[in-house]
Amino acid sequence: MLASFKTTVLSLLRNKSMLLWALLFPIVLTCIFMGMFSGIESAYSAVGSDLGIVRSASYGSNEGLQQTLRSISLSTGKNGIVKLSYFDSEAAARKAIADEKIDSYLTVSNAGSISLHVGQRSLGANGSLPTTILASALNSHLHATNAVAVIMARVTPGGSVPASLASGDGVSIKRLVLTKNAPDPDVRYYFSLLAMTAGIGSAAAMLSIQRLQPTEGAVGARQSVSSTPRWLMLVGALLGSWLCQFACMLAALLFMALVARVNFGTGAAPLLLAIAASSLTGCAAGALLGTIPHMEDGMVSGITCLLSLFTGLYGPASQLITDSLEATAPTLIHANPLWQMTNCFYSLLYYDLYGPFLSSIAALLAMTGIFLAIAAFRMRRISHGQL
Amino acid sequence: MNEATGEKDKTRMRDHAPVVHVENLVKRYGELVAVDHLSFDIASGEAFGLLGPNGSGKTTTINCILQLLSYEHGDISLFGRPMRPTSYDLKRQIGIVPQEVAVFDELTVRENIDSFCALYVSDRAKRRELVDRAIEFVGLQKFEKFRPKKLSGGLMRRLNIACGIAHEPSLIILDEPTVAVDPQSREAILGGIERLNGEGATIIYTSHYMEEVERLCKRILIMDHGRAVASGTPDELKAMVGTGEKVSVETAEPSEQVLEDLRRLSCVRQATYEGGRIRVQCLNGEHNLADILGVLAKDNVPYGRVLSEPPTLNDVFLEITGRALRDEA
Ligand SMILES: Nc1ncnc2c1ncn2[C@@H]1O[C@H](COP(=O)(O)OP(=O)(O)OP(=O)(O)O)[C@@H](O)[C@H]1O
Ligand SMILES: [Mg+2]
Repeated sequence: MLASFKTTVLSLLRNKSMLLWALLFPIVLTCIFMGMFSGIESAYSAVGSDLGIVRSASYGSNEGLQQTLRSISLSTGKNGIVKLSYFDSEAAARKAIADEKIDSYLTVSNAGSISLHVGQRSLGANGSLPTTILASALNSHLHATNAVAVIMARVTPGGSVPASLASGDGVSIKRLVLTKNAPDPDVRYYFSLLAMTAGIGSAAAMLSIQRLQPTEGAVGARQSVSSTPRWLMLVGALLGSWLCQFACMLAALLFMALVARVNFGTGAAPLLLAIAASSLTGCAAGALLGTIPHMEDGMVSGITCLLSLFTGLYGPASQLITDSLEATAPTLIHANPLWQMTNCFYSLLYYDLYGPFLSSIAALLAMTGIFLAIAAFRMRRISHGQL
Repeated sequence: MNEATGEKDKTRMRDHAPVVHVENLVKRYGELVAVDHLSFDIASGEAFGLLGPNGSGKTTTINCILQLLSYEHGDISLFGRPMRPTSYDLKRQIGIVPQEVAVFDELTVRENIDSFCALYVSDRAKRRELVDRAIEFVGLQKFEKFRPKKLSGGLMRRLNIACGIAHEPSLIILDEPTVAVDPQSREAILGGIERLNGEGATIIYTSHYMEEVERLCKRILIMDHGRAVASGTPDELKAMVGTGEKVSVETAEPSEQVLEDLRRLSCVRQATYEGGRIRVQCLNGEHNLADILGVLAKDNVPYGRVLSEPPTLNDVFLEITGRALRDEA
């Protein structure tokens, strides 16, 4: 067993196509994703909107609005997105828009209603995005003030709302997040990519199992006539391929965590368990493929690419297909080992409890069992038959 | 008889049992009968040749012996015990050098030999010694760190042999180990096999090169279409078919009368003149050459060089099957 393990590891580590596809390819794709997503982030952050504010008595008395604006101002806020300038009259502000000095301006009527006036320029280079963000910031300010007003009205019926509360000042509003970590659209690609790594890596197990089949060549025949029992050689080869596949996934994972700074939202132990289970399933699938006559690397890559479609690897369209299939035919989508692998990482990122993660691990182990059982059955049949 | 002597008898019988015993082996591929009721025994320490043209069933016979193939019919025992796919203690004593080079492309010469040897010997120190010896045996010391792809055809064949014999088996099966090998490597390989046989290993050697089989093997089985067509020592085989030597005599063109006189000799099968030589094909006889030269002297034919070639196994094969051994069609 040790002999086959050693031979397998040594020959896989020196197999060029294995190194290229199982080790290098995921790292290169990670770099590509990094490039893509940093592009998206800069598109989001390169917002520098010029907002004018018409000073009036009602603006001056709306502490809450002022605070909201301060928090989104580039000069004072932490996450500033707007550059504020002040006007004494609406006419002056309108002129500034016409002169394209500002993108939009804000007025507060005597009744206290807030309006955002948008000019042509905001539809220009930066698109309507800055304005949309600005509008939603104002919206959430209004919601908060209204919510406080409604609550206060209930608490002290008929009583007036204290000014400090009505303005939202002194009330802390905690944002409720349903998941453990904030949803991040990028991680989906990375998680799918990890699953794909396991899929491509199954070629390693396929190759090592093929090499032990007397039907697949002279090397297999030569090993079959040795005095080491066949099942020991098979176990050795499987363990060897598992180790190699695990190493490839670990390399991809470390690269994502350390270089691409992907947030996995959990500690090392569950992540190691996830890649151990994923690579084991990949390995078992490879063993099964290795018992199919004349199976080639290309076929493994083909199957992996197809299954990756249903993990959302190829962008919004493939994510849409996956999500709608998950809603309509969950069994089908759950039978995809790559989906289960992706889901392992997902569960670790988004859930506080380990339940969903462990159920994905269990699904992977069950698949491993099934693959190995079929592989063993097929191998028994060819072990002593036609060359 | 008490139990102890019974055991002793069994052991003694095993010691005297042939190393390889094949009886009535039949292997079919669909309609094709690849091995047809083949039987033979090989004694301990013997070098046994399986000779036959392409497709005569040599490799198939070996694969059946090794239990790589299932067969329709037949008994195969090795070292006095029936051979089964799981007879690991028997397999431990066998070394196989397959017809096709069977090595790992990614491993170096040393790693390859070590990796196959490790399937038989788990002790690392012992294995290092064995691998060293195998490398030296095939003369690949300078190429230890080479990958197989960088080896020439002949060196690759030597590696193939080293992988098969490193664990020092007592039965070595070599399936056409010298195909596509340069004369120097061929000589090294043949010399090596002779040495292994000299050290006591039993050898099964298949080939369609009769010179090699004739040189190495004390006993030969000639196969054709899966059947044994003849077997025995090289001399027995030649005697069996009654073919004698080929005599060629350099002369000026003789008269038809001289050729007629030669043909009339009882030991002569055929006499022709071509390329400045009289060529005479003889039957097996005691004083063929003297008789032929006697006729030439009587007819006053002056002659130059005289050449007498002993019969080859190819002549034997030709005689038995009506076709030449090297006929690769
Ligand atoms: N897997 C197979 N399926 C069908 N026929 C086969 C198979 N293997 C061998 N044969 C046939 O069985 C016969 C014997 O083949 P075998 O390889 O034993 O011959 P051989 O004597 O070793 O020839 P060679 O000198 O070319 O190695 C041939 O006619 C061959 O075509
Ligand atoms: Mg052959």
